[in-house]
Amino acid sequence: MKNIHIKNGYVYDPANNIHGEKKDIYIVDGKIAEKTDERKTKTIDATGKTVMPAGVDIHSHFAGAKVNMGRLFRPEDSQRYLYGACDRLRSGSGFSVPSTYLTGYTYAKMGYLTLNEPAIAPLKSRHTHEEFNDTPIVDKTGLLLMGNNQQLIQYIADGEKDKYAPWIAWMLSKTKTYGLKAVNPGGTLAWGWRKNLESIHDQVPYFNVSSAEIIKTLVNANKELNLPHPLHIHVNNIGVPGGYETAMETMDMGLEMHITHLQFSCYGGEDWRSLESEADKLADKVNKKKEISVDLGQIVFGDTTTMTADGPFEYSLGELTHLKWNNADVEDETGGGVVPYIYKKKSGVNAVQWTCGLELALKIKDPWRVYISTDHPNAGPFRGYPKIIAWLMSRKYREETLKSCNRWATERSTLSSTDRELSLQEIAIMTRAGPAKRLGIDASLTEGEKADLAIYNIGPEERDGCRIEKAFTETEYTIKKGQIVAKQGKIFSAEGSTIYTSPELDKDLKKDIEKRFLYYTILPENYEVCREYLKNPVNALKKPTTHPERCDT
Amino acid sequence: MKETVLEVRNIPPLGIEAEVITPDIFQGKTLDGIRNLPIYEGKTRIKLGDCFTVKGAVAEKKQDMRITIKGDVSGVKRIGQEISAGEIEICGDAGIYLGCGMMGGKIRVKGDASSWTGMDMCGGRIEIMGDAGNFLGSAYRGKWKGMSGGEILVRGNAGSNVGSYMAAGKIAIGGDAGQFLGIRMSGGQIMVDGCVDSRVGAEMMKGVIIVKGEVKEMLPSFMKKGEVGKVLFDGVEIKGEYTEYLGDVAEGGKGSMYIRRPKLD
Repeated sequence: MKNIHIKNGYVYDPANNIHGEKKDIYIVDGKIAEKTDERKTKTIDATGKTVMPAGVDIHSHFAGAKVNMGRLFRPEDSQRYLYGACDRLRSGSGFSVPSTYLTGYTYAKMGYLTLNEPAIAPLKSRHTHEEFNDTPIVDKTGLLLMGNNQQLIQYIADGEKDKYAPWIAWMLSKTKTYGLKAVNPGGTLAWGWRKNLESIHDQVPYFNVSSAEIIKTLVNANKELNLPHPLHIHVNNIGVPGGYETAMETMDMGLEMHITHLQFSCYGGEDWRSLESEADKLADKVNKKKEISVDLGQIVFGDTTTMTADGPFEYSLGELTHLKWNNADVEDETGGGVVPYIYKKKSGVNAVQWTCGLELALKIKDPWRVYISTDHPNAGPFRGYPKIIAWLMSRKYREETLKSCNRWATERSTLSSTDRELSLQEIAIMTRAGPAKRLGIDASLTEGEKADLAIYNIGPEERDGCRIEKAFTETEYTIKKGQIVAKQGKIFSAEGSTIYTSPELDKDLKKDIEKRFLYYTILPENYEVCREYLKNPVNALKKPTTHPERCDT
Repeated sequence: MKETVLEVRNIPPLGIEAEVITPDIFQGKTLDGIRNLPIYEGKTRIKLGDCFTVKGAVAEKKQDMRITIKGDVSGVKRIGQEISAGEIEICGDAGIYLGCGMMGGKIRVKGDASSWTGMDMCGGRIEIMGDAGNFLGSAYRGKWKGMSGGEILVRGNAGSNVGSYMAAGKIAIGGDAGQFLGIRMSGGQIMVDGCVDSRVGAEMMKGVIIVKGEVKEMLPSFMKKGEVGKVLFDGVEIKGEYTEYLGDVAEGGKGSMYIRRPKLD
């Protein structure tokens, strides 16, 4: 492996308080170093360019059972984008639900090297890990869906408090996932009775447990188990007018959590006709609540595939669009649905949705607590990130899009009166340092840390929307552990690792597990995904020295 | 109009993917340039000249171009894909995906055409002297909007799923048609001179289906609206005793279907 010297770039390293200073970066043996030996070094001239740590996507459905369902039932999406095998790369297809290899290549091209798959149904974790193994270049973490887990909710109903954390620990260690996710807590379970939970105080039928109780349990267990990422939550009653009140209620609980795709909870009004953006109220709330972080779920116009473990939501969306609808029930654990959707500029509802996400990003003051995402592929494919960055960095670019949208966008939101333009520093926080800190991983250019970074062809003063979009679509260089993995759109494939947590608690749940698995189609012995099953596994709760990483191929 | 002639030399048994055979790509090229165009046998890349002898003249502009293909090309896929102007004439049978995504121009087949002919087409005209296969003028798998313009004329019979998810345009079939004629169509017109198999117009939302022969089995979800003495197809009045149906009511559709009443002896 060659050493690398990156010369004269504007360095943005928010974790180390470096804000666009002209600085040289040295990489020795895949790690950031103070100096290198010039003779054995490849020099990259980054004059006029920007150097940042590699991007971290905190919320992207890129692998797993429902993503695969999206691929299976949208052959027309595959037809839209085809990628032939060339230069030792694998072929792929798909625009909104790209195949595994294509996902890795495209993210690397954009300078992202860590992805968090936020919704793994426990029973489908084996499948998800198989897809993780086939997603090249990027490092992967996955969150376990626990918001509708029947065993946990049974424990809550029975008041067996001492078993909450051990059960969650057992599930996490068996599925080799990273943290906890709750999707419409209790709601997807209630969907089994053809009901949904519209507020956090509504109760799941039969169990008589409220959404608030489930959230509290998960947050406490998360703390008890010392997990690196706080509870990742998709709140109840999402994607409907008036849904913002539920999001406010959830934030008012005062618990430490990450609320995901908040844009889908920004809708006020009685029905779709009286829809209006309540993003400013939610942004105010987030500004006050220091324990909350959010990601956007920003709409990008065009054809996409929505997929979520929120079964009732996908049902209502399917009824609305009259296109295809797929619904799934994962035994005692969770459910889900997939529906294709087209976001149109000319649609009043879609135009208001589009303003909501941008308003959130511009009105939440602390960039360390708001992250850029499209909830890929729900609000748009991840390929839309450069566009979102351009909308946030250039008011002119934003106004141009606003003008081409339905007039509702101007009438029913305050986006047109928002002047703020984000700086590259803030973008660096919102796309890498912030989400990395929240996930509990490293994304910095600290000496001795692994050299994962991206060089973009953009200067700190750039305000031209088109140029910003172009720069973030394709990096000049993406470097992973000191190895060049993308150079001006050309990919050099490498392997990524899978990061998981495996908390251990000595509570014996054997009897409960045996009883619960009477209702499963498989035995507990076959449930576990072994460490050997993962490619380059890294246990985040242990020191990495016990398991040397093998990422040099 | 200048004519480029492709004569079949040797088509591999696996068949070839030849989306390059269209005036849009041929225009302005030399004969050698055309011979060197890439085609695929499975995943192996070969040259057009390996399978065809290329003769004649090549026009500078696609609209002045006519490609004549001599011999059996039933193993050649995607001829005339996304053609926007000019003409293609096939003096034999054609392979699958003929003229898929067609935007303009003309394609004429003297023999039979295989399945998926005119898939997702939005303009132009396809004429087939023999029979057509399944999925004539339909949508690609999974798509909810298929043919959105243009005309397809078949002298012989057609297979099943003709005009599925069709949104606009016209399809006329001289012979019989198979099952699921016009399934989930949301616009456009289909006329069949012969008989039609069962499930005609299933999930139909809008558009017109005219059947001059017999329908093997009508769906129960079509409402009888009345009897008419003439129907309109492509702006032309066609006289005859037809029964008018509305459907598919099971899907809340408002399509019109006209079935000719059998003559009483």
